Amino acid sequence: MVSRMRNARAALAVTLGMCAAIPVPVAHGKPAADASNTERAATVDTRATAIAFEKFKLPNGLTVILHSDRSLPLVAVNVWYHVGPANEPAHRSGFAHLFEHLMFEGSKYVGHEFDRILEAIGATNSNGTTSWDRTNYFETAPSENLETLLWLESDRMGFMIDTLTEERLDVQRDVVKNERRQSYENAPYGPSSLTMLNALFPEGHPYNGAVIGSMADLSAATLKDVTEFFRQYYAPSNATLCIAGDLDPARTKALIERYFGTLPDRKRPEAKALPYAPLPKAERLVVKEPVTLAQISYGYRTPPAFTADDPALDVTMAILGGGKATRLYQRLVVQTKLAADVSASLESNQLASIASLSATVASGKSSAAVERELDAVLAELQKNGPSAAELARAKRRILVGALSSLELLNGPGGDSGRSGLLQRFDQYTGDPGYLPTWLSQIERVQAKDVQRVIKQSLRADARVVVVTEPVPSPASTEQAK
Amino acid sequence: MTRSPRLWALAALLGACASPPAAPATSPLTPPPAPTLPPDPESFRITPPKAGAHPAVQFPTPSVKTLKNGVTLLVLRKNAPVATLSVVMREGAGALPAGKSGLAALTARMLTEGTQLRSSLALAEASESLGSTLEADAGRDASSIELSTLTRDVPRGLELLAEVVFKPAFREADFARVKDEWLDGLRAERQEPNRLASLAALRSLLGPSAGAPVSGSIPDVEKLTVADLKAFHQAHYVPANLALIAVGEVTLGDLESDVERLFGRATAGAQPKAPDVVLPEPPSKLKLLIVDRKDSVQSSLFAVQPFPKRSEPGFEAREILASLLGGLFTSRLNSNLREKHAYTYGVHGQALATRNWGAFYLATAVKSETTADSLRELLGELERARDPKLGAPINEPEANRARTDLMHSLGARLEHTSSLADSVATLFAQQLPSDYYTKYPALVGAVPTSEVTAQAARLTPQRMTVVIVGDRAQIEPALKQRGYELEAADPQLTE
Repeated sequence: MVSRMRNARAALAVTLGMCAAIPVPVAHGKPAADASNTERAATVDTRATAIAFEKFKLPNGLTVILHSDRSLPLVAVNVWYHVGPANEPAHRSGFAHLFEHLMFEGSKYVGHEFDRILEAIGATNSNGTTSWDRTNYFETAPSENLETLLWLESDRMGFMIDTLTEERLDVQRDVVKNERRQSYENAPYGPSSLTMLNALFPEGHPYNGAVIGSMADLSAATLKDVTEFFRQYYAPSNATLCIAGDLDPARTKALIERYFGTLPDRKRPEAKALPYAPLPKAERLVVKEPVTLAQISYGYRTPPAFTADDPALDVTMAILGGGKATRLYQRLVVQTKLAADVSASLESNQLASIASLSATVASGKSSAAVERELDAVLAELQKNGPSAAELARAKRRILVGALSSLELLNGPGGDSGRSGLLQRFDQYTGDPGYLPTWLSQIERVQAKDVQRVIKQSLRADARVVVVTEPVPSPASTEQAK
Repeated sequence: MTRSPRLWALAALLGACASPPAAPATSPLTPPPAPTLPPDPESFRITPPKAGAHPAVQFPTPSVKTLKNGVTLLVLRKNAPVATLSVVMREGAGALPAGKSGLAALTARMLTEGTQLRSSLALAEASESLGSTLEADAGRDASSIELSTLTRDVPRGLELLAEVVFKPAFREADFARVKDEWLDGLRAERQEPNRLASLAALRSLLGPSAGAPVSGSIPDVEKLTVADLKAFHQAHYVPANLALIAVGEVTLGDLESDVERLFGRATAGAQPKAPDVVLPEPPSKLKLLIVDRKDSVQSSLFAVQPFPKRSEPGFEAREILASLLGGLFTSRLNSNLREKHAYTYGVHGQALATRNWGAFYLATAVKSETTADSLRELLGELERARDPKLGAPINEPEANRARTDLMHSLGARLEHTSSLADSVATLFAQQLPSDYYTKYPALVGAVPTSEVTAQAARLTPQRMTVVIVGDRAQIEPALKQRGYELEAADPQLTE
């Protein structure tokens, strides 16, 4: 996920992996067999965790999801367009994200003061982000300003293209290029992560080119491309509007009708379809970077979001990493001291999810040894499965993380918090209320499921290994003199 | 909430002049357009909606109780399935003598690495089976250990926190491991150009002691021992310095007896005197330091100057100032460097205000070729904010956006138990009245723009300390041409 703002805190959600992980009403809590822990595990919180919502469609095809919760005078508007890098034309990598930046440049009736208007009404968590399958735009504001938010979002949905100039395209193109420099080219392990993405999704795959895109493709984008992309993908029928928080449903529906009802209907574009396939082979790539610590990353294509094995992969990743009492941390950082840092994450997407394991090699240790240890941890977990206590801890961390996320009307990247979760579920399953189903799937994951998904999806013969090798940076040699 | 009148004039103008939306379903029989355009059915959009009545949103005042031994209990009730529990100790890196940087942060971290009753692994298992990892954190003025858990696990969470704080193990073997991991973390941090710039700039301005990073310098941390940690723990983790903060579906009454039993028995110790803080004289002219990083496609800039510390009057006015200069998306600096010139992906600025010192900074990463222009724009914006006679005095709309943003950012924190716990921790660490945040919106709203202008007069762009991390050979000629002389940063500044 790449976002428009300078403080792209949203990126954090991605690195957390099971992050946007989703709540769990474990009413049917089975006693988990953690000996020290039984009584706790036996009675999991039964508080309603399902998010109450209403979903309907306007005649022009716009999907609307409403969630009313009047406990705080705040309201979040979160608009998802079902378009992302997967839909980019050939040689236009990065275009969906560049387009996202342009959506803040102004629109016909509102003018060019989008951000000033938002700041003046006390909007917070206002941003846009682009992920493989979707682009979202969102803001939270004091609820008396709901109408202003709808006025702003509807104007850019309908009339953004009317006011865009070549000059503003050039400015945002340069801003995005700076974003690429800052987040990838000039950032430690940034070049390695681009190498990983390009190997996971080579030329020809809809996800090819990374969300940020290439400099050459960004340079090539024209105003005509913007117009075509807008006409093709920014139709009401290709968008879902979610409003969550302090709202009166009847009044809100009238406002939606007023601001979105007259936007012209356009044909909903065909969804990208591509049967899921794991990587056809193993690949190993070495990237030299001016860093002091080597790094090893494994990347896998895993089954699409919310398909059968996705929950077991979520649990597997939580057993491997994300806490101190996890396999990778204990084995690589605590016991063998081979790594300074480890991570395990799962990013669930439409065409293929991405599972990643990575370890920063500790000073004076060899990356080959780290790689052997990573493989050994995976092999052991596959052979013997997790203990009952490990399984229970992983599920509990997912539960508490998810319940924390539910406190928010919207999360920092617009894909967590209540409106973000409603949108995520709707995008990937068609049911905004999929939460309890997903939660019970997580709860039902057993040791043998973990073993199975490692065997099927985290395979040594179908993965990308990226090794970041330090090259002495000229800066450090000079300073050492 | 005042909106810029200019803004609406512009919107109206654009609306009136723009072409009407594409006619729906044009047919070849459609007559040619009449000389006067038909009324635009969408023209209602030209008029911005009016906001309704502003519902009162109030930051709750926590319930406070001080135990006999001096431990403070702060409880905020919030309807939420997850509770955040936090032990806050109101000393951090600011309490460290010279040569001991990193000690406060490492002590907090080692508290989560095992107790006299549990090994490091057993402790991690215990907290994670409650739902989260124990998070140790330290800042300049406070240290903390936090845990998120289901409401019904709160009593167990409290037990764990009390054990962590009062019965730490500080085992040699664990410390050796954690220290190596920590040192690699410091090395990893120093790979990041933006981080390098901030490290060097703060140390250059504030000196090796106050300016050292909270996480420590590599040589200082290498020398730390378990004895240092034990001494820091013994001296500072004393009841009078400690607060237990709970936010969630709990009340003071629910927790009182547990907290009394778990936290009320520690004996009160004398609080050590804080070290005297002596800051170096700030530079008398622009100080431009370069950390050479060959082949960088961007230059990281960190510009900093002394500013008042937390307790000096005018704190909220300085927050407004920092916000309109470098905090808001439409801040002066972001509008200039990003939205006008496209030199950068973003600029960020803040007024740091600790118990012992304050500093105002601006940070950005700019395309290498634009380094000299960016620096000129950055210093120029500060000059214009400082001197109203230069034609850009601080204006009401921008000050209002900043006020509004500060008030509502606080309101947004009401959603999340962990953000609420952070705010309550600030109350305790900075010894603010317990209703400070309850009154904060009124406080910020009452700051006159003239007061923001008065604070802006403290800006000293001509005497800033600026660190650039970038490719010296590539950027130096243009800098020289503009009269900027570079000086190599002493490697000690980034240790």
